[in-house]
Amino acid sequence: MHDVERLFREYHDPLVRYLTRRLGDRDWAEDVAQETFVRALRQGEMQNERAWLFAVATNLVRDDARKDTRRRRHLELLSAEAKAESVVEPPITDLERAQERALARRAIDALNERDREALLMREEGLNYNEIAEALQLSLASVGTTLSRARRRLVEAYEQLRDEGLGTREAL
Amino acid sequence: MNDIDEGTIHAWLDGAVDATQSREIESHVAQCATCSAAVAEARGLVAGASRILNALDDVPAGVTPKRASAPRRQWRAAPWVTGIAAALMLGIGVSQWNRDGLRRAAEKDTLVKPEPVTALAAPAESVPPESVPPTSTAPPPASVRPSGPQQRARARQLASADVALRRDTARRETARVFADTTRSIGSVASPTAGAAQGAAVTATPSALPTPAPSEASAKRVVGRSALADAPTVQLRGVVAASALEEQPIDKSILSRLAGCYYTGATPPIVRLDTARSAPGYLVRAEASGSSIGWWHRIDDALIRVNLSAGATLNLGQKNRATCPEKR
Repeated sequence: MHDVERLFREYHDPLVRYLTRRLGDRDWAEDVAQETFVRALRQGEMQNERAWLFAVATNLVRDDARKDTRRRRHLELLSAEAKAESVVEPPITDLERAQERALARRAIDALNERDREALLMREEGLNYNEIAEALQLSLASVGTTLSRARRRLVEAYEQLRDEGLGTREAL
Repeated sequence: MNDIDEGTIHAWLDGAVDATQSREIESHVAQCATCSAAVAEARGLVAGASRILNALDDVPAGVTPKRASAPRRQWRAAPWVTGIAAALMLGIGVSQWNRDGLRRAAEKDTLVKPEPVTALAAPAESVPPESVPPTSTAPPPASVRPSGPQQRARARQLASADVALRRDTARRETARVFADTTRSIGSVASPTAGAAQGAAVTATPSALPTPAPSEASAKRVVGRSALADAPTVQLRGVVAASALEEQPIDKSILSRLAGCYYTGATPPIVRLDTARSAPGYLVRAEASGSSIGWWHRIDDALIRVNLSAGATLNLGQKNRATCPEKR
């Protein structure tokens, strides 16, 4: 029992953050995290806890049978929120932050799944061994994966941002 | 050493190369302009990517006041689960407070802790009244829809929350959950009864700005908290209807369901008790033994746990655990 609590204390928040960034949906992320820890309880001993947890969480996301339903509902929510948000004028800083968040979301979605996952894991402090284990990559390829992911993310973000600026100027 | 490839540079920046290789890279970069530039670019990409990923995270609570659902610090279940939980809490609250107490509260315009309310308010409010059994006594929401730009904005928020809850299952479950809820709170009549009963009940007043389901106060609902808006009338209607149903949990089922469960959340193991507090059957943290919420049976496969802290958990057979040895 004491082990469970420790596992949870150490890894719950980073796992939820990883999943929230991965999915763009905090509720979904919390669900997956919950499922991951339930499985961890059953697992007993783990070689590398962090790698194991992130691997299971990643696989749960990929295998999520409800992914399509969730994605549809998520998209519905997003579009409904967009409509609702257009009614009231938020303060300027909120607007900028929301725009940045939307840009970041689109930029990260431009990456392929593996690159995205590797980068998000790295951001949560997983080392190369853990990333390799969690994603079933060779250790040697982790660096290349991350370098590609970072480059593509930054390029996608800048391109989207410039497109947005272009549109505004054209109006 | 030839020019270093990008993957190795990133691995080096991430501290993933051994000491020997690291020294080699350092000395090479010092004398190679191309590699030096490559390293500088890589540092920029590492930092840029980090910044972009940080922008993905939610803005802090309270920064976007226009959205009632903005504060997302606390653990939340999927919107439809939250909706049911909110409906459940409202149901508990409305039934628990007697009519006088509530009318007094409404007149004093008592505001309650906004955070747990707002996190639950938006999805909950979109449970449509037509899902309720025909014995509902609540007036249709249109008749109490408030006017004014703020309320129109709120109405639009709620319309968006409608999208989240357009699920038959959610509506059916809400009606069933209300039945369970009403049954479990039984004859609690006074708002102060809960005070002595621990955390499970303390949570309830915080979800409750709304008056009782009487016709007179129904029209006065328009209030200051998100819960007091028109759609809350719908929920009161649901509560009024379900108050007519009384379905206790069968004792044999109760003893079968009680016991320990893994939650996959905080706390990691809970014990479902057969003892009752005002809103329902007690949930205890197994480690400490203190009561932390209450539970309801939804159906054969699902138990709903509402923690006083505000979170909602779904437990099923897969979560069953053996209770640890008594200390």
